[in-house]
Amino acid sequence: MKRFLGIALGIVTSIGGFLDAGSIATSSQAGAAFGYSLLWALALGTVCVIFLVEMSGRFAIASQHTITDAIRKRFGFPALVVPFALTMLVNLLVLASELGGVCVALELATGIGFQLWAIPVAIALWLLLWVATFDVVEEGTALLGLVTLCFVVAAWKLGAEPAELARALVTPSLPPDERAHYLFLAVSIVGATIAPYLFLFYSSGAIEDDWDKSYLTPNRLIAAGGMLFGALISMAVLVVAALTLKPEGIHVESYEQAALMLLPAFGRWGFWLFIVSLAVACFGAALELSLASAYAMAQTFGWNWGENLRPRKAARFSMAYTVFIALAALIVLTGLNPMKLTLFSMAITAVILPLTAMPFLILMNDRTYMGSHVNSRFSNIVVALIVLVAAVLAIVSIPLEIIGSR
Amino acid sequence: MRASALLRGRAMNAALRACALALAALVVGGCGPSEADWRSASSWSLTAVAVARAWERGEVPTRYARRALQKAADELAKGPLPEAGAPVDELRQALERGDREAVRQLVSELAAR
Repeated sequence: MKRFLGIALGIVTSIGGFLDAGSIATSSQAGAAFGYSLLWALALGTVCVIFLVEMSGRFAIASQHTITDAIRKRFGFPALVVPFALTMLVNLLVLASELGGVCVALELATGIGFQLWAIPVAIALWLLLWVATFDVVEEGTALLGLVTLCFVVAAWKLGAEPAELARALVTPSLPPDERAHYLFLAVSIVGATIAPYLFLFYSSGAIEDDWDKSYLTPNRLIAAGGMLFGALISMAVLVVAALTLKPEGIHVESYEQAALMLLPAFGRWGFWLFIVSLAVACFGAALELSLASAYAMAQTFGWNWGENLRPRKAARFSMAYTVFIALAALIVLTGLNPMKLTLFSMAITAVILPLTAMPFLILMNDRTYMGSHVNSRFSNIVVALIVLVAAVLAIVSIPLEIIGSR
Repeated sequence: MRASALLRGRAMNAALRACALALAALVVGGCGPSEADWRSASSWSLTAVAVARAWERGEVPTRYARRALQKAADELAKGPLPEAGAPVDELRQALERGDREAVRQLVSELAAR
């Protein structure tokens, strides 16, 4: 019974923790511009993230190492430097996007400019990380994140056609015009779905929660169930945008436009549901991202780490997330359009995915770490293929998008 | 030897001409608004209408509507048709006065265009 509750809680936290600024921005923009036709990109990203999250949990269970720690030990510190630096840079941009998302939600609610919220939100984020334990951070924010299920209810209320959705999920298509923008959104969606911080956080969490071999099956169920249901919310955002904003001719370039998408389903409540969803999803993701980055930094340099430790017992780990949050707040203060920042961060995430995923795949096939729990050939091929295709598409589409949006 | 050098020279000239043409096309193309600019302008005009309509129905708070219309007017002013910002400014002024009737009328006028 206790194990069943653990699995249920794991799935619920994955659902609540899945949606973030990246998913909201990419899905709403994709739905408003191209209707359902980019659902396949979400499906592709979801398949890949299920494999990666399951692998990261299995890796932690079988080797009792986190991914970063094992990469450092297996390949040596010099091999880790470039991927680490790039991942940190992208994490910083994504953290700024998440902070920006919370600040924009507050701007929409109060009318006070989003830059003015950067410092108070950063302090609240830091304070929570400073005083809370891992479970509070993971479960508290994820349970609050269940408010984002309102998008699923809205998609149902608006009468989304299941057959049409199913067709779009499995049939990639290229529109006759705006192809560069379409490809850019496709890679941004994949980047938002397979964010490396997600599986780095998951593997560190498995170590923090002392997962042993009895967790192999729960890990599989949590990864599949949680990511699948989580992806359902991202898909619902896309579907709602396709049903409400596209017919109005509204392309989402800013959160002010996205805020209109729940009005047809919920009336005046729709506006507030959007704001609460945006704020909660982005705040939860910002917490996870700050922790994941501090984990990666501490594990790269071999520092003491753990959210369950008091800050004075893991001083450099605590300092890492403190500096990280401060830098992200500075980026928000510059006044960059948070939605544009989010979209580019997600596309760049797709570019650097192979740097994180490929060494991880090598580890997953190393019997010294995995014993009998090494990867099957099928999962190796699926993950390698999706990650490489996403990276190549990102390298091609980012310059095209920059030229197109001049 | 001289023939191949000549051919290389011709090939080089042709390549240089092609590059110059591409550059010129890019510069000329870069002077006018792109398709994305027109799409964005149209989207912001329609956003202004949708925001004003939602405000008139009482579905969104005034402070949000004010900021969203300001943003739409700013984006339109930067776009390929700056004069499209004028009706949005009128909408914003009517909203500032709390004049729902004027907003309703402006929205139907804009929607009819």
